[in-house]
Amino acid sequence: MLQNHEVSASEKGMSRRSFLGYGAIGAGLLGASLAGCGKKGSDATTPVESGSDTAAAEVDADGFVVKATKTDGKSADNDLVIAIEGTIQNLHPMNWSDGNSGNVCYYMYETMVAHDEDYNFVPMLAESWDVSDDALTYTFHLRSGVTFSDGTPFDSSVVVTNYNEAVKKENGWRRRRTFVQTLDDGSENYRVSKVEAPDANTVVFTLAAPYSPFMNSISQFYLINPTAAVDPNYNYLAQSAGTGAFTLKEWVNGDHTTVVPNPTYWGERPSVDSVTFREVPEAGARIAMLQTGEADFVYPTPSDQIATIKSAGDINLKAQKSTTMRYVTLNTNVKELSDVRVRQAMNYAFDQKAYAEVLYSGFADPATSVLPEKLHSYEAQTPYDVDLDKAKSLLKEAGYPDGFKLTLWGDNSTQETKGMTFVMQQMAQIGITVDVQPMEPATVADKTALPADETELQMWYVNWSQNDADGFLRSLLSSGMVPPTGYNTAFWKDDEFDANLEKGNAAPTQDEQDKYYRECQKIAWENCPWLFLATDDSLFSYKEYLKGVRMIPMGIDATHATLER
Amino acid sequence: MGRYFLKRMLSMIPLFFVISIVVFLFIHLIPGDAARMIAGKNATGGDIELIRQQLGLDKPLLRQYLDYMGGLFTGNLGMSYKNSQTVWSLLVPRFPITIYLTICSITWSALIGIFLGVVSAINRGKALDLVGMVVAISGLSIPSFWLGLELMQLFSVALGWLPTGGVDDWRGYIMPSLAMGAGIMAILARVTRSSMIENLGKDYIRTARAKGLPESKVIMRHAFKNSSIDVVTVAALQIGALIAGSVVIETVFSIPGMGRLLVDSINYRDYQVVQALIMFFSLEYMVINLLADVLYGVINPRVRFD
Amino acid sequence: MAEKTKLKGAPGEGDATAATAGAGASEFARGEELPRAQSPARQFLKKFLRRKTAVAGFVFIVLMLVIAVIGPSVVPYDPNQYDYSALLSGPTAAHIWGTDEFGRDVFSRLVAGTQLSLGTALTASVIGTAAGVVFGLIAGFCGGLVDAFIMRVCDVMFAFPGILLAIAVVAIIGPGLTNVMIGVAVFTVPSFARIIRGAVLEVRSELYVEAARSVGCSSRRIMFVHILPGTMQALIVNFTMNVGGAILSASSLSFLGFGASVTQPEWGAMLSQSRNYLATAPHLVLFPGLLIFLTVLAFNLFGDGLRDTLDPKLN
Repeated sequence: MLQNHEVSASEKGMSRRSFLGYGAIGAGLLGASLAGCGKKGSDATTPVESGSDTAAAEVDADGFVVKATKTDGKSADNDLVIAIEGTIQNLHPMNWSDGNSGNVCYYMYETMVAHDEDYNFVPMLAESWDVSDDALTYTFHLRSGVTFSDGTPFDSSVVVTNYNEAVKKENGWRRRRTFVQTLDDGSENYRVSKVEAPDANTVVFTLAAPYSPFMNSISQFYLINPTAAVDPNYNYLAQSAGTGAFTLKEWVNGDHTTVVPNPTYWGERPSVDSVTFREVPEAGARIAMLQTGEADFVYPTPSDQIATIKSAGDINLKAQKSTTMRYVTLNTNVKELSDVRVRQAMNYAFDQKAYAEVLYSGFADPATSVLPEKLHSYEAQTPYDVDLDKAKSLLKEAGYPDGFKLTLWGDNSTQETKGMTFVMQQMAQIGITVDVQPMEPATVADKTALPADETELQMWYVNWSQNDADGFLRSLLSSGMVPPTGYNTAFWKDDEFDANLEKGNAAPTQDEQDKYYRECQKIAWENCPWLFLATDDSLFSYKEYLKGVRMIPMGIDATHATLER
Repeated sequence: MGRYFLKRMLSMIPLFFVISIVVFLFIHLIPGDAARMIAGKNATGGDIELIRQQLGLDKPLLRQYLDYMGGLFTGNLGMSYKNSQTVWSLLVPRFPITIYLTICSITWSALIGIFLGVVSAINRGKALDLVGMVVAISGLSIPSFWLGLELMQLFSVALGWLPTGGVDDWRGYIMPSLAMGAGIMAILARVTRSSMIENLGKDYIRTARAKGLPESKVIMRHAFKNSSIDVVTVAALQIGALIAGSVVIETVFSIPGMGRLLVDSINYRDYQVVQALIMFFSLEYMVINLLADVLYGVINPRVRFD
Repeated sequence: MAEKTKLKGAPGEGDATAATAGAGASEFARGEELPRAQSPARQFLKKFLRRKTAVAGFVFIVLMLVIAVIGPSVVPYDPNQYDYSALLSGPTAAHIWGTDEFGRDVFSRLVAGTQLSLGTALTASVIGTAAGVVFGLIAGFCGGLVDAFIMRVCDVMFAFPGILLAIAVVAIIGPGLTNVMIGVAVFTVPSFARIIRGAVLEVRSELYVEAARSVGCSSRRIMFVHILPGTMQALIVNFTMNVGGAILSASSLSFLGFGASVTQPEWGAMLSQSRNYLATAPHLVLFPGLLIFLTVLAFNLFGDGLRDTLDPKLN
């Protein structure tokens, strides 16, 4: 009994001690971590704070955000590794659906006309081209002496064969839609009425009706070795059949794709031994790979990683204007949103500069039109400068002095949900309660494609990127493109806008097109079918010893990259 | 035992059949449309409808199910909507990667987990028990993606010892299997400990000790041998947790395994690939549990199969 | 802070637990003086208190429950109050655990989020356990075809990776905390059904059940009055551990994009959302991570201790 008693006594003592012990351990842990954080945390805040004074987007004339301080680094090999976010799913140059696949195709296949960094059309397999005054005949003068990687010569007949395969319905190539419009009733509208090859170096496309994005279609029209193009069983993931600077070495599903220089390339041969695209979904892991040297180039680089890159010392970070427009569609069929004053009030309440700062550390430009600044047809509109009083009075005029409640849809990625949260915070300032509902991309895509009488869409946080004005204005804002046909998810209809759009489409020259497209921008801007957010920069980072990589509309161009060894 | 094995194999068939229906319904009932995902940006409703017809997604659901089952019985798992590769050709290179990862995870977690469990059981109530169990259970208490990312910061970025991702060589498997196995290590340590404590209190141990057998022999030959049945059962049940773990960890470490393919394919609504993968995971689970049952017989011949 | 709040006395759930703890302590004090006269409850307490890690876990859980109840009303800042001029700042005097990517106070968010996170995990476990218990009881008690059917359904659910079940549920019924709860609950069901069935089969052959049957008790009465209490021990232990698992599952779901709404300060969502700041603002990851870790650890250690104490085979 005595023994028993003693045990319990000591037990009591021990348990009390152990409480204290745990407390101490806990406090110690927290203390240690606090100390650790305090140090690193202050490092991290410096750029952000300095940024909020002068806009963090301090980009020098060459586009550098962070310039490496250690410049004596050397690459261990002559193999370029690019870490990308998404997956490479299909390397058929006329049948890919995701941007990464399209980007890799650019290394192996070529088009007649390409885009340069500033979205101008530049010669590739065509040395020059002419457009007739009625905007119906496009004549391309082809480069001579070009061969495919297996030695097959490239000439005008190749272009004709490729066009015929591209529009063949049973082939089911996705890029078919750049030449053929499929209407909702299943009927089809061919943009091109005939393609002729008057001689080996000339191709003439005759259009059925003027079509302003036609040059854009041509810039996506990759030319394939005719023997492969007509072979339905050709495996584009095992080999390549282009005229480009590289050929396919291997495609490993979900891991990487490697291309090597094409020995028969007509242009300047690449100086690297290979280019590998590695699929790395986690942003933190991509930056870690750059730090350790496992990757030489990383795109996209999240803006919140700037501090890490700066402290590494041997990494450059560059920013380049993009054509990605970020916006929130406002379904104009929703009772509250049908009033233009409400939509304007929302834009007056939204702080675009703070958005650029919080979401992109300043590496974004407030939207000043429905088109991104980079596009030729862009024209700046009168900004909706933040004015909460005006916003509130507009709401009051519209009959909603106390605000109302709306749901906001969007993708469930970290960055997208962060943006939606920001929209919610901004709208709360004028009494509009936003219910943020992030969903899987496939679910959002499905739910936003329902017609006006079925849709539950109120607001959609989304972005869009195209290389031409028509690709924005028609796809997103014309009355013919309301779901389920297209992506006018604001269900916004304006006759004047539509009329100008058609006139722009029929104009033969870019300048004349722009005249009408500027009118379209003005109408859309005043009517606010969207909450206008921003255009974010493309941020890419790379090891200091890597030179000559650039960002073009097709993605990353490392054709003329060099690695210092 | 042969008969028992056969019976168990046969009982898997209806189970497999039911799972095939569940999987099919799962992927077709969740919102989202493969054709829309494949069509990509800037496709019109007409373009999407065309793709739907080409993929056969416009057929009635029952028809699609029958086609799919028909394919299954003839060994044709269909093809990926994304790039027209056969599902087989997508699975084959990924299969060994996930299997290695599973084996690495279960091996280290079993070794450490059992060790901690045995040590804790022998030292029950003492400081070693406390330390052992807190260490083990810590593994079960940390979100695996966080553990993975912290390991990466430490071993790849700060120390430069291990690659940040991919599985180009054996070093690539170290961090992912550490992150994946931590929870299982804890569970196995816990099971080992309690099973050992239970067995150590039994009469036959007292007899063995009385016979003057050395303590190490008593513990390993007698107590642990009997505990290993419990350990094997629980380890087999953890296969489900490992599959869930691979989904997360393969994303963190950019490993081209089946878990990540599953996430990608669900996101893309690549129906045929999702169906094949889930069927595979179910089959893996069933087979391993069957093997565990068979293993009981090896460990303890007195276990009767009936 | 928690100590103070506990003294103030908290209403509701936290209060009840705190009261039990208090009662436990006084009971223990008396038990010390009279070690011989011990009721089963006292015996249990004595054994339980011997397990230091379990007691520590229990205390931590109580603390968390108290914070869950009173947390939202005592936080220094509104958890949703943003400040774009103080983004991602490290711990300072004003923000002791720093601020997040919107300049919100991390400490306030974590404290306010305790209710959400624990609430989600507890509710998911309660729903999952309740359903599992019902199916397990029915299977174990009825036997035969019903048993076979329920167990086959469980087999299917087991073979179907749990995280996928949760994804499926969230994908079908939409995002949000409630649906995460249902998703997590769903894959709790089969393991509980199996555990309870096993326990029922063990208890069913016990004498007192036989006796109840022989005096003509109804099936339902036997099931709930005689069999269920016999399975209580297995239930409590597994429930406790399941709560920890549910917190982790919720964070995995957040990682995969199926978690709680981002606007809510749920721990798992906070951890997953902040993982990109691991290198640049480590406090943002560390505090939710540590809180999840410690809470899950507490539940696991507590559950372990309970089992050690309750299981006669281990004593």
